[in-house]
Amino acid sequence: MEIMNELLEKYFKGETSVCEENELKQYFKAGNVSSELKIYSTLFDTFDSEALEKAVNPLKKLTQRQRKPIRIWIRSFAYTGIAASLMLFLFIKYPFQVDNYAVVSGNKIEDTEFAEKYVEKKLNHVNDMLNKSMRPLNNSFENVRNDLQPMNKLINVKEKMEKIQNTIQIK
Amino acid sequence: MDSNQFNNLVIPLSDKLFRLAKSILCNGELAQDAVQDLIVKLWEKRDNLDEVENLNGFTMRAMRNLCLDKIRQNKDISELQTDIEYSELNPYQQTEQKDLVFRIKQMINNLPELQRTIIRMRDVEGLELSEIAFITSLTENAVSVNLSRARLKIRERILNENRKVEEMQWK
Repeated sequence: MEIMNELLEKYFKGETSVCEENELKQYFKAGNVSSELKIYSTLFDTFDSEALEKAVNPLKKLTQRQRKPIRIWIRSFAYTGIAASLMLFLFIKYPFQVDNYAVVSGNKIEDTEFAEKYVEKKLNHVNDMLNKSMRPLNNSFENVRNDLQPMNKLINVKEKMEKIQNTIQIK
Repeated sequence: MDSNQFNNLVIPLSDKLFRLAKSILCNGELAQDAVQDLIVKLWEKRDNLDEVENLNGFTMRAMRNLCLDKIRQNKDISELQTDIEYSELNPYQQTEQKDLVFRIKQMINNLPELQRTIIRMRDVEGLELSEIAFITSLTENAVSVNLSRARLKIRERILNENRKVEEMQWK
């Protein structure tokens, strides 16, 4: 009892070691406390109860921060995907169309059938003109061929003469 | 320091850090918030934590500094703003007050920040004077003096209230 009184006095002066303070705590925890010192029991009970307090979810903000970049990535991909899908849909629904037309004498012709017939007519005309211009030339070639026919006879004579010469030489 | 080491070495300190934060801020919610903020900061600086010799002391010091910054930045968090407000209860209220632990907590919360922090670091966490000196950036002698003052003030209040109760009983 006396020892505890002295220890307690030392405690309030801040002169006890951790070991001595543990001894005091054990004394008050045991329950067999003198009436004089009983008023201090609650003080040590308070310290014991506070030692049981715990942090709740200390990682909360850290995990929130780590999830944010992933969420941003997912969101970016999602938005890109949606935009690409929309563009694809529009492309399929409204494909690009090329304007087909011809210009005849300054007029825009979009009727393909008319344009085809017009072109065929023009091409036939060109063909006729070509044939007409080629006719004199063909005639000339024919004349030259005819003129060259006597020459062919000459070539035949030459061949015969060579034959005869060869026959004579052998003998 | 990798994530495994962080989980094994830093996260287990959360409870201690919470109790320290609560002692300084006198508010459980703010203390939880402060711990979460500190965990984020420690995670960001985890590569440097390998160089820290006394991780326990380092984190406690960081916690204290963070809490003091919060007090400075937010005038609403005054030293006297507590979860439980201390007031001089009259003896009738005292007799009705069954939770004496609650009363002792009030008395401790009513001490100046340095004294209540030191008394809790010693009596709740069981830290040596040298460790408390490191955390509070004081000399061991200064810690001892503040510890003594805090305990003596608490004793005075306990005796005062006990005296009032006895006087009422006699009446």
